[in-house]
Amino acid sequence: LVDSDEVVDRDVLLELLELGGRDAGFLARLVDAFVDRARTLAVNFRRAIDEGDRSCVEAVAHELRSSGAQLGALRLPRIARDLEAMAAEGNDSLRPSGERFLAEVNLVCAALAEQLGVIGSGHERVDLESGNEPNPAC
Amino acid sequence: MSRILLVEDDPVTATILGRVLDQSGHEVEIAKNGLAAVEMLESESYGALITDIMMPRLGGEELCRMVRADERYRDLPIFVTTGVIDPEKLAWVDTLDAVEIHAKPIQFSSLIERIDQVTAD
Repeated sequence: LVDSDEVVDRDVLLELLELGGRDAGFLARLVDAFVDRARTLAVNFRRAIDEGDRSCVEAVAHELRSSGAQLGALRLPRIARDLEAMAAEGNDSLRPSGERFLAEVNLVCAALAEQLGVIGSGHERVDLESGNEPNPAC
Repeated sequence: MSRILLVEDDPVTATILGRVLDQSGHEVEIAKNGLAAVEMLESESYGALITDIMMPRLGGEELCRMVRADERYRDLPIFVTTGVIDPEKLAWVDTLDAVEIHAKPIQFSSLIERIDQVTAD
């Protein structure tokens, strides 16, 4: 088990909750948007890893690094940045880092859902494995 | 208050930044890519442009170059928000007038301060 406080910064989420003001669903919608996007991107990310499509790997890592950081992800930005750099340098051994990246994205999604429950905004558990939408990013 | 065109394909960042700008008293319109932004610039007047770089269907660099090459938008302040870390990939920004970079994750207070300054002029 991983402590969600090690995965996402609760203070960032509390700031976003405050930013939402009287709009009680604001933070939950942000989390939904991240999870939906992560689910979509994960499908093609796996395919990109299988096919050695480095530009797609780089694009997905870049996008989820930015949006994850905006939601308080603590470790994901560094993991994604390392993966981006590997892909940009033409490294052909992206699978281990890619798997680690996806695992961290999954942890971020789960941690966000858990933190939402803790700070009072109900949210369903998420599952990146269920996504099957096309990825417009690559 | 000023009308701001925000060009951002990431829904999380667009939603957060849109809300921050709204609460700072600005009217915000969002385009999901550079091509949509060009169309919106044709039909509306904006006090500033905020754009991401890596986007499908016309990215931020191409958008900035097009805007700066168009006499109608010569004085439009541009703010580039980006997670790009490699300074070589951002060198193009220095070749364009009145374009400044704000790194992601965005520090909203400094961005809003600059937006307020340039739209007050």
